[in-house]
Amino acid sequence: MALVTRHLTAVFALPLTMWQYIVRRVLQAIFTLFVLSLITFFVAKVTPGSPLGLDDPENAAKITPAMRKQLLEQYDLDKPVPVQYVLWFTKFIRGDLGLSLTYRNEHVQDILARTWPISAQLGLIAALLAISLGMLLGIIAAVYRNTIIDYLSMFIAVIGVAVPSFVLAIGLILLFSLTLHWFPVTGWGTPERMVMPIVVLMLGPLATTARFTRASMLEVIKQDYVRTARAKGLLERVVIMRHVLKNALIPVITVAGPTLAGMLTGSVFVEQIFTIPGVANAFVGAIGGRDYPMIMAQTIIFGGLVIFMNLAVDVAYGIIDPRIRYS
Amino acid sequence: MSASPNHISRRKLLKAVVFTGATAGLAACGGARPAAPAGEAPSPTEAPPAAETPQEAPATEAPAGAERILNLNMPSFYGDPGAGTDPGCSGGANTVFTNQLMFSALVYLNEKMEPTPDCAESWTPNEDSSVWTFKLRKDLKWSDGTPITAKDFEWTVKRNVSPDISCGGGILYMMDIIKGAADYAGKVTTDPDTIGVKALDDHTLQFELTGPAGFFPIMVSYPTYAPLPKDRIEQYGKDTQWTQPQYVLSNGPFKLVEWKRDEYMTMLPNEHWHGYTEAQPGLDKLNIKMLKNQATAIAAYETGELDIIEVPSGDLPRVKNDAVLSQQLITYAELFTQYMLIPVSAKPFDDVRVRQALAIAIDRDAISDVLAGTVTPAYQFLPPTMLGYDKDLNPEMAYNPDKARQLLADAGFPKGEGFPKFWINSNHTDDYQTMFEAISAMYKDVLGIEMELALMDPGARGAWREQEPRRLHLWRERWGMDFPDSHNSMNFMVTGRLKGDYSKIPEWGGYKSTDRVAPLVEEAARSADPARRHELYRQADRILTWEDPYLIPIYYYVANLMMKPRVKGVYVTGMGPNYRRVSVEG
Repeated sequence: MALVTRHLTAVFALPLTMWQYIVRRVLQAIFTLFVLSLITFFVAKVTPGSPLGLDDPENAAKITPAMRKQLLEQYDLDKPVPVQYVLWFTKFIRGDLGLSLTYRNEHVQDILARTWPISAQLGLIAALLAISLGMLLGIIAAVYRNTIIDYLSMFIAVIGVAVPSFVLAIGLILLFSLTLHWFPVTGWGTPERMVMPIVVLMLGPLATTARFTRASMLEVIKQDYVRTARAKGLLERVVIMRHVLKNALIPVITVAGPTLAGMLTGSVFVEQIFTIPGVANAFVGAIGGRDYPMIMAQTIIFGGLVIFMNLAVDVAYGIIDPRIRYS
Repeated sequence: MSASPNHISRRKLLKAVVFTGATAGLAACGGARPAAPAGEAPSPTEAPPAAETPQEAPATEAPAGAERILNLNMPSFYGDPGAGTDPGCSGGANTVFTNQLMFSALVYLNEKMEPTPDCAESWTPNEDSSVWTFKLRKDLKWSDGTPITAKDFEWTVKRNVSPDISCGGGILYMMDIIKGAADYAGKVTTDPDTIGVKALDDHTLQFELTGPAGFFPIMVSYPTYAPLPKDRIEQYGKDTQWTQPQYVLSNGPFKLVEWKRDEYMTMLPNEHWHGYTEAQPGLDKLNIKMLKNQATAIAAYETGELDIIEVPSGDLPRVKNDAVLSQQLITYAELFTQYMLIPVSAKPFDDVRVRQALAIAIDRDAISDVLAGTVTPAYQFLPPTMLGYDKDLNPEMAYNPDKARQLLADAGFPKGEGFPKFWINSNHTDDYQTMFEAISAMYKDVLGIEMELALMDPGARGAWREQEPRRLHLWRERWGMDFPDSHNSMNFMVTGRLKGDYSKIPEWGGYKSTDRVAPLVEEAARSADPARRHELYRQADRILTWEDPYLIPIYYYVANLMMKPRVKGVYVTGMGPNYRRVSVEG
């Protein structure tokens, strides 16, 4: 606990150069996001196909030219692409993400407001479990390396990496829904509905974290200062927690950041198979339906989150390893 | 030709292997369930009652035992009807599905797909069937109890054909048969009173049509001919907002009370519905879930979370072989035709013999085997049970490799020599890939010609077709009927295809038999005599599919549903299941 408190104070007591570094990174991020929005917009527009099912031959027979014109006007799709971008951008900076082209009577910000909390809840729980259990598994494997405990932990980790999530999901449904009748197959919101999606979502990252932790721990355990710590008679527990783990965390944190970002933005597969009304589900529909406002909003949010996580990781390096300097 | 079936069965085998994970696994579990005693002595006749108890044993989410809840899934795994459930707006199958639960049109279609009194208690045509007068029931009410009159119907028709309708486009092709509707929708006139619909008094509604149409009563079973709540639409009409549960009023068997986007809709029986009798409702609550994943949907059915599902094609063999599940399987022919359109003016397809060769070089039985249980071979455009369908219409079209080779040789391509490479353009699904790989192999083996697959995202097909240099290609299309009268299909083929946008593309236009087909279809629309109409549609279909092929029919869809034995009162026609009298036991 003392360790944690000390680190929290460390954040507020960051040196000035660190703050300068953060401000510069944030400014860079804004520019990056602007370029990202530009590229996404134009790539989405040059991708063949059109929204509202206008060019879907199964549907097109039923849309008259007059209707088509009316729809294109209604959604500003009849204007040149650069003009469309400017229209979109001026709305965006005022906080209006536009009307969705698939959920036609909903604004994108409203769709995000109802889908994000669900994906974030799922992702956050799964990510916290994955990182904490993964680290635990990795530590155990490293401490008891080359024993049956190590092999067992790593076997679990390999399974986690190797088994695709759809196989795992189907397997869990077979076992826990169809055979044992413990959990319902679909839905979200009640604890028994949340178990299977969380397990499916966390297993892969858990395994990755475990393997990274183990490898990194083994690297550190060989160091001279660890031998010194042991030599001066410290308890093995103290050696592992204070000297080995702390120094072994850097690579683990490096993967944890993007992992967290990825999990918070929702898993297409998990959301689809368990019918969770989250953001990934909405995003897939948006791409298929050429829902430009939705695609733009999602891309920028996802991009922003990845940038933020990377920044957070860089800052965390400094807290964990004071030798790291920012410039 | 020997290579071709092998090729198919290899693919089939591959598919089987892929599915083994889910299918065999599920099957194994099915056996391990408490249901097993029923399977010990597999006696199909006894299976349903024996199966009922274990099926319901999970009794998943009915907290109060007395509540009778029916759990449905959105059809065809479309998920949420995002654009709203406005019957005046075009939408997917999911929109029509919710429309039919919530709204009653002028008529409904009974078990034999005959128009049956719904909002209208009777209807009479004038002498040549171009003016139709509907007598409405006097007890029509909205779900809040306020009365509905003929004026509401008149207003709704005018609103539904309005060019300013605020949604993803109206369903004009279902309404342009009404005099003046097309002009009003196309902004030729701005006066809604030019549209041929009028409330003669509170309970009499009259339609004036563009011409005689004996089939009009069948057409008005479509949800666009249900009344819509004028006040609500005028107040909340923007972006179909009015279809949200807090605003919507409806006049059908159910009323929408909750709609959780991408999750579920909840409907309750509408106590103000004119069909609500002492015996109704046969259930307390209707849940419509939005499960897009097929594996999930069938698992949810097996745990009792869903009462009716569409069976995924991959699970069909397992379901058929399961003593319990096979008893719950409902198979019916959909009025839905899959076909390829031919660029009739492009060389060498301008030669009738080439088109005929392509039509008979396809072994449709083999394709049906590959797509096991989900299709039946089609040798004409109109589906079975419709006027103009005749199983002996095109006897020449049966699979005939020798004749196909001969026809192609007569056209100047012996053994396919000198025949240009061409493509088949289609959406990309597993089934389409399987089918077109098979057809491509058949063309190669039988005719010695190359058909390449251009399977893609549906939205990209238009761009592909216009891309320079233009590629010689067949075009996959399918037509599902909106109302069960051949006019729907044939009118689409004439106005939507022969004379539609395609006719303006050089390779696709200039179909020489347009002047033969169009008058036949027009006369059939005017005729009130079923025998005469049958003959006219028959002739038109034969021209389109054999005499001067404009399209190559491949198969009709077969739908496979599973329904729990506790669900009663649902009947199934070529138009799909009808839930207006649904009830559940226990």
